[in-house]
Amino acid sequence: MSERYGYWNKVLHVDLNAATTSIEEPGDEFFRMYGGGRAMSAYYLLKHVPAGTDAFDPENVFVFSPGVITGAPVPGAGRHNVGAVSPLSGGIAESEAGGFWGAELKRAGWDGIVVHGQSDKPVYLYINNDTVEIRDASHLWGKVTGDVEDAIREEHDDQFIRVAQIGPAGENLVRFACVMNDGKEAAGRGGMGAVLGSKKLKAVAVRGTQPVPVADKTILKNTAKWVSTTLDENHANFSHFGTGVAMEGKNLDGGTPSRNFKFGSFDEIRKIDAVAVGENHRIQMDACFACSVRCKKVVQIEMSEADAGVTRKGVQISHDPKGRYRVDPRYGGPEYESLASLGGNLNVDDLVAICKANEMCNYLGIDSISTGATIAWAMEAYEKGLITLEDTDGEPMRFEHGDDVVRWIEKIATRDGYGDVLAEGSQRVAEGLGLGSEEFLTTVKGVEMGMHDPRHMENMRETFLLSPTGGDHGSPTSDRNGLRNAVGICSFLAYDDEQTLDILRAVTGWDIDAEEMKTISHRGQTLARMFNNRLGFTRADDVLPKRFEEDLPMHKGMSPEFQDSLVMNYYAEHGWDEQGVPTAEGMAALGLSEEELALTR
Amino acid sequence: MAETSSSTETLTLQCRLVGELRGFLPEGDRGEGPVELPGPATIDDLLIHLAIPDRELLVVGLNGTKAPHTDALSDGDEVTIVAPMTGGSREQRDPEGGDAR
Repeated sequence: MSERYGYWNKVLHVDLNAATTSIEEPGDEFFRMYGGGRAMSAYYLLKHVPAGTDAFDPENVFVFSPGVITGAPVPGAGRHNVGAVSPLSGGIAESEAGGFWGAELKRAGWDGIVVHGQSDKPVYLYINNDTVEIRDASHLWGKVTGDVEDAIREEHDDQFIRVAQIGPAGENLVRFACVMNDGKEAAGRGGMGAVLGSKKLKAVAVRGTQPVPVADKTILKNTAKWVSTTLDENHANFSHFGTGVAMEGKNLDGGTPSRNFKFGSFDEIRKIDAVAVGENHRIQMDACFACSVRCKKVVQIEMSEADAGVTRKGVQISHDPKGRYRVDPRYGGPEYESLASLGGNLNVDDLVAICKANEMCNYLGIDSISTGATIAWAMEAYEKGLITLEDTDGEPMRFEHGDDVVRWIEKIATRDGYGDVLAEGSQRVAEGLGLGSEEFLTTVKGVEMGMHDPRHMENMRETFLLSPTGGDHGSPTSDRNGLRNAVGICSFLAYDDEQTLDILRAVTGWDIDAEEMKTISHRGQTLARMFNNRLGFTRADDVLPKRFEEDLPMHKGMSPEFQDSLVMNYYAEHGWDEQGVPTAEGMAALGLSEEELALTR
Repeated sequence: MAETSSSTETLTLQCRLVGELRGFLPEGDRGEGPVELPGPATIDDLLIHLAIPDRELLVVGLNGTKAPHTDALSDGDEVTIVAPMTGGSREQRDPEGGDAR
């Protein structure tokens, strides 16, 4: 074997039916083909999940897949991916998160984890380098994410353990429950937390002490230096404010999601953007693994001025002038998606309530985008009189009311009253309700769309139409994002394609060129498409909801004909036929083997 | 508006620079303040005057409405300037300023 860099050639398989684990060595060619991320999770789903599998069936497998770069000492290398059949779409889900957990898994000597079957009692997985244990989690079941992290660290007397986990929402099979890691990072989309809930796998706790081997440390060191010494030139907004600083620009451009994507602007946007968060409630910025950009907001709000005080670094802590909410800094602060989904799209300008709502999503383990979008749909239905106080347990659901949002998050995560209905996701609720409520859904393939209006944003049109994971703004449909997802580099880093290639070569030692890099991206996209086709998806699913056929004041609606032209172009570019089925030639060009991928299932 | 863009007199504009752009404002410590500019002038002239790089990518609001950079300025105008926020290289940023995360 030649020297191996960037990966260990070790994938952990966990069988929860039998409570056993095993190690697979997929081989060097596997890592060069798939890289990690979506491509790797789609590979294992194709390999192990038969047609007709429901998200909550034991046959569904759950894949944790960092990339070959994850854990290398370079900014942006803190990403990992999770994948499984989605309880929202019934097709493939994959969701990416930052933080430290993915890098810790790599540093423990593992390139991925594939979870099979279901446990009959709550368990968690404990990984300490080579040691792997399936442990009882009865004492953790029902606990919020911060308490679980504390309990696991205490149990092992190790404060450096990194934990990926589900909250109560995942246990309760809320269809848009997420997988949280490091307290404030979310693999949010597609209901992956509910899949782990169905498997009764509460957490994966990891401790790793082995540096990921890299081929050329000097290039990585120079790259890290370039990022840290040019922050003001290349990452100023991310570094000083984090996501959501440009919301006013989007608003001027008529592209702000507002009142359930009905309008393109919100007059109070300045009260809820990242500048407002920074000026009013932020105590510091935080980082992911090896990253000097530090784009993560940390918010702290106390109930009263008397409780507020200052942080250890002398920063004034804010308080809620209405004395309603405390917001714990261990759960971070709202990213753009949360500011928009729990704020602007609900016409809520109450920033304290938005910060509280975001914190609750993180400790209950529920996706802030689908939560906000489901509430937005319900608020429109309530406003139109299609649902009334009789349906909603006497609790109003009103646009502009931040306190309503906070109340409904708790009810959804705990499946309390009408919250139990909304926990099914907006599309299932609308299909049950009828009365024309489907007309104002904002879902693609059953998944609520991220807060980027494709009528305004050209680069989101293909993403929302063709993402195999549905209404997923972060879905790697482009070559650039597809590659970054597969190898494990954050899409916020301002690396150009040449720098990305340099990093990939420096970590892995591969003699790889731009064309091969693009092929890795296409392979991930095609594998995901193949898996969805196996589960019964067709061209008819590549369509936006009716709301996006409507015009915005500043942007035209997207007609079905226009949508179809985008879809057909994309199929052709990826070597798929007119029904979106990968052709034999297209698959051959990507080096994909029908036999290996168990396509006869 | 007291003056028109055809005036050769000095224009005083009420500017607000959002986020990372705050540092380009010569006066005002929170990104808000008056900027004086010889008339006649367009939005693009103002952006050059403020020396903001990659100015073609900026979204500019003129008296609360998005305006093209070729629009003429008048004395007393309120100008809001926002930089788009995207990952990836500068070449890949959305010139419409739309990818506002």
